[in-house]
Amino acid sequence: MRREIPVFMGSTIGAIIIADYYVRVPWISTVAKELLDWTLILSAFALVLASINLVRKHVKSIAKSESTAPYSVLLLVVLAAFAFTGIAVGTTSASFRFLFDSILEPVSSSLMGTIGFYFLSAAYRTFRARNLEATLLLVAAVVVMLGRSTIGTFIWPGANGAAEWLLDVPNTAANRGIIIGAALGLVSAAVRLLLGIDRSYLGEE
Amino acid sequence: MSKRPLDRRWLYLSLFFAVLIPLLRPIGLPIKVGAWTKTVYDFMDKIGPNDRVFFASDYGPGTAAENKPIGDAVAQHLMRKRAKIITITFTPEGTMYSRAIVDACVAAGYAYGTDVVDLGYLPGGEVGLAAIFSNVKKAVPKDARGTATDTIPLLKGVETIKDFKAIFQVATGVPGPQEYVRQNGAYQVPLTFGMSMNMMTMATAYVQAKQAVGIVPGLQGAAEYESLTGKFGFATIAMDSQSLAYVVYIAAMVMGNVYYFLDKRRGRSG
Amino acid sequence: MSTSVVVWIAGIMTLAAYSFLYKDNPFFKIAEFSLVGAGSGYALALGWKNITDKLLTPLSKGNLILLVPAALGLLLLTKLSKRTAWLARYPMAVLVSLGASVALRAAVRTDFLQQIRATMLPLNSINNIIIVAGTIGVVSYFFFTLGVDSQARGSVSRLGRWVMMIAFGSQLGSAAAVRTSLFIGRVDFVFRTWLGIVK
Repeated sequence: MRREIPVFMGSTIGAIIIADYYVRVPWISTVAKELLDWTLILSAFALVLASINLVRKHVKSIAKSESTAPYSVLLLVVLAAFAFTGIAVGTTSASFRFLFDSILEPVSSSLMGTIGFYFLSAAYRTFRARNLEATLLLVAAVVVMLGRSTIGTFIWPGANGAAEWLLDVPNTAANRGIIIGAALGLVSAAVRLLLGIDRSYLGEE
Repeated sequence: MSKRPLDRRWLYLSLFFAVLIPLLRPIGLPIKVGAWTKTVYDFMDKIGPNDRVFFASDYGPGTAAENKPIGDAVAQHLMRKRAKIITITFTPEGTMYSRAIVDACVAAGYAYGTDVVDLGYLPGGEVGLAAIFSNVKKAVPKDARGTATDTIPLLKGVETIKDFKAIFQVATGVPGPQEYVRQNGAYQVPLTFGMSMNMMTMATAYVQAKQAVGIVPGLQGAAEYESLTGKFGFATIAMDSQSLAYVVYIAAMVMGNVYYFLDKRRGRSG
Repeated sequence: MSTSVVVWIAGIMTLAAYSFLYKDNPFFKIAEFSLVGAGSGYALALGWKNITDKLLTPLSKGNLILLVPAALGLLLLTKLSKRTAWLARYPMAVLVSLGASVALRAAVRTDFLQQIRATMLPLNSINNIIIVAGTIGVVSYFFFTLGVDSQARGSVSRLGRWVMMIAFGSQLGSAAAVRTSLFIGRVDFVFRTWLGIVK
C-alpha cells in the first residue's frame, strides 16, 4: 500500500490535468488549476529541500575534518549570507544585489566562459574529418561560425546567407525529426509513469 | 600519435589576445542584419502603446553575456513603442535581469504598476508556465515587490496569457522554446524568442512550423537588433572580438586536420 | 581603475575562476565553493519567498484548502532521513505526475501533430525537398524495431544521419559562439569596468 496509494494519486492527478486540456468541464478546470498551483508550492519546498541537503553534506564534511572542510565552511558562510539577506532583508534589496554582483555573477559567467578554451583545445586535437559524416559536421560548423560573424561576412559576403540556409533547412529538418522522436518518447514515458508501470520516482521499497 | 608542435596554452593565449585586441582597438567591421533578427524587429515594431508584452528573462549569470544584450535591445525597442511590459522569470537567477529591465523602464519614464510590472520568479519550470498561462494572478498572487497582483492596475482584467499581445522569452535552458511552444499551444499568443545560438538551432523547427514568430539569435542577433534600434551597447562592441575568436577556432580546426592528414600520409596512426 | 568594492571582489573572483585553466588551485576552489553556496542560498531565499506568498499568506487569511499542499511540502522534507523517506512518495507522486501530464497533454499537439503538418510541404523547391526528406530520414534513423534489415530503410536512415551531422555541426559552431560571448563579457569586465584599460 505504501507504493500503491502514491501511484493511484499520480494516475488520478494525471487524468484530471490531461482531461482539462481536452474538455471544458468547470469542476475539472477548477481542480486542475488548484493542482497546478499546489505544484508550484511543492516546487518551492523542493528548492528548500535541496539547500538543506547541501548544508547537511557540508556540515558532515566539516565534522569529519575532510580535506575540503575549509572550503565547506566558506560555502556555508556564503549560503547563509545569501539566504539571510534574501529572506530577512529582501531579494530586491541593495545588499542582496551586492552579493549577486560580487560573487554569483562573476564566478558563474567565468566558469561558463572557460568552456570556450576547452572547446578550442578540442577543435585542435579531436575535430577530425575522418569520414564523410565528420566532414559534413565540420564544414557546417565552419560555415555557421563564418556566417554569424562580421569578419566572415566581410571575407565572404554570402556567408550569412549560407549560415541562415544551413540553419533554416537541413538543421530544421534534423531537429524536427528529433522533436518528433522525442515527443514519441515523452508520450511513452509519461503514459508508463501515469499508469504506474514505471515507479522509479518512488525510490526503493 | 605524432607530436603536436603547438601547446594548448598557446592556443589559449591566442584566444585571449583575439578577444582583447579588438576591445582595445576596435576594427569596426560592418554588421549585416540577418533575416531572423529583422523578423522579430518587424513584429515588435507593430506592438502598440496599450499592448501588454509577457517578457520572460529565463537565464542566469552563466549566459548573461549573450542573453542580456538581447533582452536589453528588445526592451529598448518596446519602450520606444511605449508597450506595457510584464517581466517574469522561471530561473532563480533571472530575477536580477528582470529587475534590470524594470529599472530601465522606470528610468525611461514608465510608471511601475501602470506601465511595467515585475512578477518575480515562478518555480516549477513547465508546470509554472502552464499555471501562469491558465491563470496569471492565481499563479503569482504577489509581484516581486510584494504587492498583491489583484491590486495592480496593469493587471486589471488580465486572466490568462491570451490577455497579452505577445510573449518574448530570453532563453538559455529549461524552460526553453519547447516548453513555451507546448504550453502556448492552447492559447496561440504570438511567441518570439531571444536565445543563445546553440539553443536557436533547436528552435528553428518551431519557427518554420509557425508555432513561433521568430528568434533573435545570440550576441550577433543582439548587435543586429541594436543597429536597427540605433541604441548601441555591449553586443556591438563585442562583434569584432567574436569575429577574431572564430578565426582562432577555425584556424585550430584546420591546423589539427592538416596534421591529421599529414600523419595519415606518413602511415602513422591517429 | 574602479574603486567600487563590488567590482574589485568580482574582478578577483573572475581571475580565481579562470585560474583553473592553468591548473587546479586553492583560489579556484574558493571561487567554486562560493558559487555553489551562492546558488543554493539564492534559490533558498526565492523558495522561501514563494512559500510565503503562495502558502503562508493565503493560509493566514483563511484559505484552508492550502493545508493540503502545506502537508505535502512538509512530507517532502522527510526525504532527509532514510527512515522517513518513504513518506516523500506522496508529494513526489504529485510533482512527477503533474510534470509528466502537463508536458504530455501539449506535446501530442505541438511536438507531434503540428510538426508533422509543417513537414507536409509541396515538393516544388529544393529546400522543401530537403526538409521533407531530411525529416523522414531522421525519424527513420531512430526506428530500431521495424524494417531493420531493409535496404531502402537503410538508405533513408543514412540520409537522416547526414542531415543530423549538418545539424550537429551547426550546433557545434553555435556552441563556439556562446562560449566566446561569455569570455568576451568577462574580458570586457576585467579590462574596462575593473582596470579601466579599455575605454
